[in-house]
Amino acid sequence: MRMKNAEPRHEVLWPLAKKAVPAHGAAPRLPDLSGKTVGELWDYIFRGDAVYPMIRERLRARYPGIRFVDYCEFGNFHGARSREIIAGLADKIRAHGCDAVISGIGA
Amino acid sequence: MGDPGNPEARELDVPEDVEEIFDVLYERGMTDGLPVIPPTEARVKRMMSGFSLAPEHVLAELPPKAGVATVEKIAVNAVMAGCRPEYFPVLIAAVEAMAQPQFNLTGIQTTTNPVAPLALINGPVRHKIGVNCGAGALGPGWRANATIGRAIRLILINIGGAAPGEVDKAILGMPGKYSFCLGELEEENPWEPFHVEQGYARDQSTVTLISVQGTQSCAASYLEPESILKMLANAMTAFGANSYTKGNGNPVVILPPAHARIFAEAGWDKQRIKRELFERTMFPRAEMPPRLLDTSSRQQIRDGKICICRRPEDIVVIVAGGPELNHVAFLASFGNDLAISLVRYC
Repeated sequence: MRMKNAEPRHEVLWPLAKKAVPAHGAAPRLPDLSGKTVGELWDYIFRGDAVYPMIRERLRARYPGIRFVDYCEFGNFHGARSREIIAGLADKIRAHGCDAVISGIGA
Repeated sequence: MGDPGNPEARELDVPEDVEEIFDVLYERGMTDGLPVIPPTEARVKRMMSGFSLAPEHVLAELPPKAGVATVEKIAVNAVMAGCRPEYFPVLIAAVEAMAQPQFNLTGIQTTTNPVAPLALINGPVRHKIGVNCGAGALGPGWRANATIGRAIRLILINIGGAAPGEVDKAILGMPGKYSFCLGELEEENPWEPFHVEQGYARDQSTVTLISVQGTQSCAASYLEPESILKMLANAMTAFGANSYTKGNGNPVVILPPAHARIFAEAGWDKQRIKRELFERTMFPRAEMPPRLLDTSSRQQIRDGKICICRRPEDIVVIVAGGPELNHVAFLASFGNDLAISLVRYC
């Protein structure tokens, strides 16, 4: 225990942990999706199969030449094989020439 | 002194008063909402004192944050939860078990389901540290059960990064997310205890983590196995239980010793109970509403009927609780992916 600002203080150890992987900021937002390739990531829960066709339809109407890489190409990154799938995800995204990806569809 | 704004700092400067310390930790989202023991360096060292691994030794990375679970970080959270140092090896084993990929901790930490890891303790360590396996084993009043379960939750929040309401998206949650830990009453188990069933020796101690949704008590004051099974199967057959839509997981049945004896004395073993429950909890698929929100449904279908899990042997049957012939319990499974129970020697 020690004194600080005339008030008794002491130190406790921090309960939070460091991250095992470095945090990266999001890439700059694309100014225009026209003619771009967009990858679809889905964890195979909560109707992505119904939502993605709607997203494609809306984005095609708005951005001429936009191309999609179907979620089937990337596999289910949720569940028992998630580490293995996620480890290979960046290479797959690059191999498909994606300019952007859509992820984070939830309940 | 570490920088209190830096989550990678080792130390945090806090007021001396315990209520103020709780305020500081609570406001930073480092608690479960209940008061905590201040994790001073001396207390954390004492927690690790009987443990051979170095404080900086990394035991696991816990999702979704990929938080580095070092021995020291686990000890800090154990102190906060109120654990005694002799509980520490059990907690270490529990963390290692939860980090195995097949446990699907990412899903457990982030799902809308109220799932929590149930810690089941077997072997001699139960007596060594005073784990309650009998009356009220899942209730209040027992330090080992309460604080080991609580430490697991604090670790999931502080190391795994499952901030309630933000990362942990449980729609309602459930009380077992504060603490969920019991021992098996092996001494009054007429069959082999759970860890022996899993291939461990009776004199080994194990921790098993099982992802479950909560407890369903089932009044079954009967003297015949048939009647008890009928009541249990009825309690288990809940269309909305996750395992019916996910087709996997480990539904848990807890038989108090009096019920277990009735089965054993009638010549039943655990495998027969599991087979019977598996059969009796099937229901025609046509009875399930046709369109589920979750289209990833991987229901286990047999002869047009939906099964509670993948196979009978995935049902966990353990013995615990008080002596009265009254309430048995069913714990529905998270049922997602390979939410199979894990066992680690400690």
